[in-house]
Amino acid sequence: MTALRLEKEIMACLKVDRQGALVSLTELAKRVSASTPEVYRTSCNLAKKGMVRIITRYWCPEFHPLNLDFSQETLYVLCESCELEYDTTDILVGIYIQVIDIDLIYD
Amino acid sequence: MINLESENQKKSLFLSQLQVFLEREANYSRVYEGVTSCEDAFDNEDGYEKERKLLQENKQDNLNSNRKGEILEEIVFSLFSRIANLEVVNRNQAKTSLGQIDLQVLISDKSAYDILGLIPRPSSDLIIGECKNFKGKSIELENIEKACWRSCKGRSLQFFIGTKYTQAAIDEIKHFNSYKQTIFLGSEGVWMVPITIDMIEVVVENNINFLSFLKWSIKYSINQMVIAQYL
Repeated sequence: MTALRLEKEIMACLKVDRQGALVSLTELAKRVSASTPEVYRTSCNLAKKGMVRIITRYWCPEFHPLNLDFSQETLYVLCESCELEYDTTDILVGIYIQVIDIDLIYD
Repeated sequence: MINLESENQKKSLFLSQLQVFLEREANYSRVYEGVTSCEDAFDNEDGYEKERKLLQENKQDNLNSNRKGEILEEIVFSLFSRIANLEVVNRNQAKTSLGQIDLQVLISDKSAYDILGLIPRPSSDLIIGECKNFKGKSIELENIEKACWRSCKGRSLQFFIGTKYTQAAIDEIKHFNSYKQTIFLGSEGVWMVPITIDMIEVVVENNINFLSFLKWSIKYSINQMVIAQYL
């Protein structure tokens, strides 16, 4: 699939199929039948063009959602549910893609 | 004279530690839906075809130092180009504000740092790669001092890819990563991550995800410099 074709497929999926909802990278790749790295690369290009936003969600290794404070560099993050501090490099991340403007005309 | 036995021991120890890390990462993405792993951001459909050839060429005895340097740069360039959320903008660019840089990489989206385990995200969009493919010589303290200065000036994460490191060079990296906050303001996200060609060889030969390896190398460089035992 060409890069342009993939961009169109991704936009159609986000706008039409998912009606502007947040879609995980892996699910998006399945829906457009392309490899995840390819979809990630194309989504980054779309984000640069201002057509989608890439959102990250964070979880502790026990899969409790985390709200992170980005203002200060730290090597440990506190999970309030576990009441434990985790090494920042052990934090689980989930990449999600969302269309910025559902009414944007893309053809 | 190179002690082949200890070199091989180091390689197999590195491989086993890396595999433990990879297994844990793979478990998370298997168990928890929605977790993005390094597999989702790295393209290795051809099984490192180009890198394998270059690594083979690097083993030839009759190579001159220029070609050796070029080979390592080509390998690193090719590996970084496979990462979905990074963009290699320059290779061996002499005229930059930071001097000659072997590899300039821009992140396409800040989520690239999340995948690499750099949370909170560094403010800079630039990642530097410094390649030193010395013949029969180790990375010295001076090489590291220069690299640290470049990292500070560019406020960037830096991967230093070399053959072998002297103890003074390793100590300098450890010191930099431990005390950078006291050395200069705005040091968030500025890290020195040392890796070796032997490590790259193990990664390529075993078809291991290079991005996972980078994540591993960052983790064990910023945390007590555990990576030192494999250098």
